[in-house]
Amino acid sequence: MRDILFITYLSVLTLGVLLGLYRYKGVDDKGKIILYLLIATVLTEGTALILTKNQVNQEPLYHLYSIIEIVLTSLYFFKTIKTRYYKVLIVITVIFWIVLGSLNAIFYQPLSTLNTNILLLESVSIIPMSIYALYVIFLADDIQNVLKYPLFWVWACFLLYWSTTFFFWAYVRAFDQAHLPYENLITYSQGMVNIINYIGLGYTFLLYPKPNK
Amino acid sequence: MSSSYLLLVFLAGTITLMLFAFTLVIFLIVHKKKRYEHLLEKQQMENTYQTQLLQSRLEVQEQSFRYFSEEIHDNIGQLLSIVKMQLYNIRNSSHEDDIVHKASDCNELLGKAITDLRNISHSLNSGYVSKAGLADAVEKDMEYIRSAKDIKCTLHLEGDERGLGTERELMVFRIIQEAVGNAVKHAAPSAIDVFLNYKDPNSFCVTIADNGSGFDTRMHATGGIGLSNMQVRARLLNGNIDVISAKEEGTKVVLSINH
Repeated sequence: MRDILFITYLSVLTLGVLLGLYRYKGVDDKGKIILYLLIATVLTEGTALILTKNQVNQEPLYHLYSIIEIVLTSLYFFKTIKTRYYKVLIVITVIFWIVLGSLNAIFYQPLSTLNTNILLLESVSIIPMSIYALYVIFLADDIQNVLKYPLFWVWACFLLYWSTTFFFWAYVRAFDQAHLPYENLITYSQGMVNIINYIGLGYTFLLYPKPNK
Repeated sequence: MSSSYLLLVFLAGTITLMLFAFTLVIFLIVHKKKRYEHLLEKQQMENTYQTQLLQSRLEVQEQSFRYFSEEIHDNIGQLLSIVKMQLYNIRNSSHEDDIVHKASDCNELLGKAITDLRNISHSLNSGYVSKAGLADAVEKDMEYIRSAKDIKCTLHLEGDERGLGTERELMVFRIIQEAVGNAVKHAAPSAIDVFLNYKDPNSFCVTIADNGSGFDTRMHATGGIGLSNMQVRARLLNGNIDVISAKEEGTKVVLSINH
């Protein structure tokens, strides 16, 4: 069952990346950030799979991935709200999360363990970002039919994903990961949420124009 | 803390946050959809308004062309025919006094024809209304009717004249022209009075009154095409037209526009 879930998850991710690449020319700057996020996720999950098969700890990879993920999401957020200090904010964000990730790895959660602290902080950052971005979309007069608007779907996916997984990271953090109670229930529900989220993100590429033949 | 208690917290928290996120997203979709529909409706209304405006303008133009073609034929055409006849008589005349008299008549008739032509040209030219203003344009029109139809036409200005906007002024001018034209054509009046009332800052009122034959408004409850056209134009101006008339008691057309 776990394998099926993981294969489905990887397939959905790969399909999303392929869709993004297929529509690459029509995709705007913001859409490209989502594509890079999906590529980073596919590469991380693929490498993690290989590492697991070779019985090598995959957790350091997720430490790095968390930082890439939050930086790309922040980048997407700054593009959404059209801030004037875009470059400065990006530099600050990158430095902030690298420092935070390193401090967490050095003092609290070594690279060999799951970085739930960073994941919880990510949730705490991305949920307000999503709410604010949706508020910006709500106010924008030029956005009429939100269902055809990629920005809306992306932020709706982020909000649903991070709202749903917030307590998951808190729960994992409360226990020793090797002896997680109700592990199957937690893993399956997390897997389902991942699949739904990446279907949503992949779908957004379909809202961009088709490439010219 | 027991694991089942933590699981319960996990489930309750997850469900709560998930519901919150769902509600937010659904609210946004519904609200935006409503706003989108409202905007579409507004655009549709705007399109209908523009179409009606265009249609009304075309109708007015068509009516004006017809009216002025009749005027040129019946009035200026007649004057020029008389001048031609007089010139023919001059050619055959041998008395110097008679020639001088006829030439003087010709001169007078040609002067009148030129004045009438100029007035018609002003009435036809919509740019004249925006350039000279509504009151001056109406006065010019009255002047033409006075000279061509021998009807006593008077313009009464009440309050300080203020601009209503080029488009609106032109529309009001055409309504006045049509009402005056109808009176001249159907009521055979000896006097026509036009009142432009600017007293109320929140509204504007035009009254076109004649002392002609009048008609029974109950018999013409639906109004002719001309009247319904005027009603459409008045509605486009956010206004209304009232027709007060009775047999042998003249007619009063009142146009009220709210700002």
